[in-house]
Amino acid sequence: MIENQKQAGPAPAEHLLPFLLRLLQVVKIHQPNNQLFRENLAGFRRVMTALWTEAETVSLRSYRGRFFLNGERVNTSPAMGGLVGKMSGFFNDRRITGLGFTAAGEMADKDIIRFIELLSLCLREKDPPVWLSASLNEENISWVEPLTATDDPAASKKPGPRSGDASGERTASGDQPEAAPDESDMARQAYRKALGAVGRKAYSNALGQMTKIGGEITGQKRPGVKKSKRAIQDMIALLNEDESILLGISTLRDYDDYTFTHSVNVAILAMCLGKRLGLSKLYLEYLGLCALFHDLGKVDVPIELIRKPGGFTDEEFAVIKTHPLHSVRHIIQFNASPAMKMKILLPPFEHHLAADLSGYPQTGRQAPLSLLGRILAIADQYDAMNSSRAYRLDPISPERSLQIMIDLAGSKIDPLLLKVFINMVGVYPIGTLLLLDTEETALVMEVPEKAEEGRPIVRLLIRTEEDKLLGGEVVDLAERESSGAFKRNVLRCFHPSEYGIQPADILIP
Amino acid sequence: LRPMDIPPAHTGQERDFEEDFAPAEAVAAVKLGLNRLMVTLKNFSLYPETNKIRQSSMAELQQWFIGYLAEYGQLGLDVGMDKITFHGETVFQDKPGEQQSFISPLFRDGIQRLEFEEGLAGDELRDFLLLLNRYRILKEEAEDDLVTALWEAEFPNIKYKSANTFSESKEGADLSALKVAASSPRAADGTGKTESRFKAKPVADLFSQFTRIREEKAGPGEGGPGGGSAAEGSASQEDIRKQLDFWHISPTDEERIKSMVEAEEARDNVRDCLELSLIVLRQTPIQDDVEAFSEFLAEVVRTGLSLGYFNDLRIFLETLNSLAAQDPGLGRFIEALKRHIGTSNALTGLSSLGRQPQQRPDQTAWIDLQTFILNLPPESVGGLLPLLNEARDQAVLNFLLQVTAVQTLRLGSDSTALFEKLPPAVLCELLKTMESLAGRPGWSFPLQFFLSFTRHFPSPVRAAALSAILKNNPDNIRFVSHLLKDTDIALNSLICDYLAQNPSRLGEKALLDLLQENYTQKAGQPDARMEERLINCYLALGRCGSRAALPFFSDVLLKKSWKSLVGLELEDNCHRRGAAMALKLMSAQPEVADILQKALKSPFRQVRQSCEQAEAELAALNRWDGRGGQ
Repeated sequence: MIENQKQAGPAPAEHLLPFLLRLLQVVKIHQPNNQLFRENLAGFRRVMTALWTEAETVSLRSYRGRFFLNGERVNTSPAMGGLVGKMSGFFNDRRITGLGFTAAGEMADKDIIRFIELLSLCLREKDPPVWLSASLNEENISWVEPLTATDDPAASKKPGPRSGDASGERTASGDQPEAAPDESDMARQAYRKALGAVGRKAYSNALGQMTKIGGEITGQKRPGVKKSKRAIQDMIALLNEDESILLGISTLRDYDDYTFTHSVNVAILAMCLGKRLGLSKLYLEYLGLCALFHDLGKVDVPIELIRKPGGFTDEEFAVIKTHPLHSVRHIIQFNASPAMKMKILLPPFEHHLAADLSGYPQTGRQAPLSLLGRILAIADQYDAMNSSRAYRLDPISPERSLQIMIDLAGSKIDPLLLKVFINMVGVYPIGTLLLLDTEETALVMEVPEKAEEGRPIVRLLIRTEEDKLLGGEVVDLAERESSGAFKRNVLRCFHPSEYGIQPADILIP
Repeated sequence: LRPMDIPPAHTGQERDFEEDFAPAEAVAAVKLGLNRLMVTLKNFSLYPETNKIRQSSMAELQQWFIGYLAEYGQLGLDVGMDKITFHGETVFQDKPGEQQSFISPLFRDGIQRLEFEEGLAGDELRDFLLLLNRYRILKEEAEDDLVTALWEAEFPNIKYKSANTFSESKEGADLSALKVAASSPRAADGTGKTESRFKAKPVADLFSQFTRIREEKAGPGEGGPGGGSAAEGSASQEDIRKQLDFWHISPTDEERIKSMVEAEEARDNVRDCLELSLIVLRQTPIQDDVEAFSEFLAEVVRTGLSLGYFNDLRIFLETLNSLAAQDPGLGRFIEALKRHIGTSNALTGLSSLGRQPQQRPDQTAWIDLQTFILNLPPESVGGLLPLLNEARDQAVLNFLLQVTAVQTLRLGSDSTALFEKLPPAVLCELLKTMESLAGRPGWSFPLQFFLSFTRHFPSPVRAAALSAILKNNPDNIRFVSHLLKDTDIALNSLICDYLAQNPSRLGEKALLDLLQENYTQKAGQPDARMEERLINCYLALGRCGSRAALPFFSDVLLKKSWKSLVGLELEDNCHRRGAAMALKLMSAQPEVADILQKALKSPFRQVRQSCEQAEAELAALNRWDGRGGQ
């Protein structure tokens, strides 16, 4: 009955993986006449036949724990999560990026079984892909072949080799300076897109939570933090996958409601810095929550004061300076475990205090600033300078912001943390708007960890007829001409807000 | 599994596909395993960690997991509202109205799937079950749910997949609504006067920069890059190179960073939180929320006590007291705070006190701790009592007895219910400590408090309280004489012994009244227990009694009722025996010999026998309990 149902419709691409994995499992423990074995063989043949009706060649590739069938990400149900992980690990262990299937008139059961056996056995060999390929040839099995990084048709389209990079391959991800063997451009783009969607969702959730918490405080309720925790946990998971996506999202700005976007951006920047410093996952969570709540005390500052253009009088500034203490008060009032609150209380209090304990609030407390407090202060200052504020309409460009912070290093800012921060955001931080000497404009998209001369990977901008800017090709500013000169150089840097650009919209579509 | 797997749209086909592959033997095995899991969870709720039933069910479950995962490599379970499915087969279902379901919290918190992988270790499984049990029992919490808790636990071989709760709650923000520049005029201060606004430049202006740069390059004597209002120019490659060299992270930097991170993660935040609490209390309206602030401070104090920060805590409470003295309004708030600290679980921070030799406080620390505790309101007895039971070290126990005794004396008489859970031996020690403290200048003996311990408490406690009451003042006999009739013979003996050794008119009267009352209301031979009490009373009265008791003794010994002679009334030998023994003990009195002589010559055998046997019975009693005859 079930068999009939399955034959009634086309086999979805998602079914290839389960059949493959189950064949790999059953081949070890069952004879081919076993019912389960036969069902899987039939299923595999049915899926392949269906796929070959759409394309003569079918490629199944693995990239960072995801699968792509002919370049399209394979949707996986929650129930298949473990299966995907297992298959991904299976391919990685054998140093293959995937399998290529070419349409065959008929696939004999014995050939499928032999292919599965060889795929399993090749793990023992010195060079599994080469051995597997040769063995399949020997067995006259021509409808399947192992794929490796060198088979990647998109590899030739990658940005040219960068000097100082012996491998000649370079991924766009900062945390993998050498090309992953299973990487392809299409897979990478699909992967970034998927991560971007996760990031946007996490950002949106955090922002929504901040708005809700702000409302609850105003309504004298005790806010819970469960959902803020979930948003922060999602961000940390994304940070572990790809820091640049998260940093890209932190370029989101909202002129009309600065405080909450600022809080979420500070949380991202602080967690990224914390990760670079080697904080554990749990402390990254604390740091994220501290950052999210560091400005909650502004709820107690009159709105007209927050939005007041120009400078403040002494009395007004005295009111502004109370906000860290009010943040502490609101955190104490959260409906959350006191043990957790103990961990996140101090940094919001410290975020406007300098390394030499100048700044505010001045309470007579003499203890040196905590590490989380110092991280928060850097992230807060950087994002605040990068934003347009009522009292300072023009945002300062990321590059200039860094310079100002460098000038403050020592007495005001922890120089070692700033050093790590600058290494993280780069000379041209993500989201910076660049004018290039090729008369192109671009947004900084990613800063490779060992970027040559700080040269980032950028997304070129396309000017439309309606005078809008859209995202174009991704290029690496470290690419060189055959003469050895760099293909593109930076002429000028601008703050993207100056031209109404929300970098995250272009960098993380 | 979470959160990088973006939940895809489900299709019926996917489920059908999954359902196809559930080998019958695997399904049967999973059903068995989940039943074991349920049993183990129930045992986790019922029994302490050291219980053998709990340990054996845990061991069985662990064995099951090891066996299953060795055979199949992985176990994936899909979570439904009231059932668990395995490849589409229902392998566990809650009974209707199941109160202790482990499926409900999983489903409630959005966990869609659990996966157990080979390598699952015993500790990991135990911690997972503890977590599951915690959320199985607890209702929804504001801070955590199973998803956030599992994330933090980071189990290496247990994965989970959760639904995104935000997608249902619609609390996420619309990011497309965010604007980088002014979108609409807005009055800054409610006066209607529009503030100056930050407005984006047209894109054309950006591209005109290229023309400007070309002109600058072409023009003679240009003095550096121009640019828009926010354009900062770009650093030269040489500058950048220098900067990068300067900002290079050296191995020394890495070492420093490592030690900074280690120090931060080892930081307990107690002192910071105490200090911040005082600052916030002084400078913000935190007093509006005593509940939240009290809960928070109780945890800070608990942690501080567990870490031995007695000096900091003493200073903290003393500072609170001085704040309270300065501001009566704040004083009420602070009193409520201190009461919460004393009555919440804050003092459990002391439960490990003295467990390790290095945890034993020095002299200064003992004083700090004592000052801290005695600065708490007397209600802190509620927090101190459980500690008495847990103290393993004699010095710690003595300290706790002292401070608990002081706080109990301060608390007064309405507190006996607090002591009901304390083991009798510990409670006796506490009463003795209180008795000794109450004898010192400045304290008065809390008679009512001790009297309340003579009721409804275990025998040793009642005896200890009674002993303290009698020792405090012989006249207190009037408050406890009713205990001579108590079902607890120990109390009767204790009073009788006391009265025998401490003769007083009140004591004599109490004994005589009791015996007379019982004698006149006699209804045959008393039962063995009552007989023992009566004999005790006769002996005590014999030892302490004056001549006033002689007529009663004479009457009891010599009188023979006509009813008993004709067999209409049972013979009561108990009173007669008691009177004879009492008279023997009072042989120094001149009238006694005459009474005893009359008894020996009595025509009634029972009278003669009682008198004849009294000496032997007294001798036997002396041998039995070592009491002297006089």
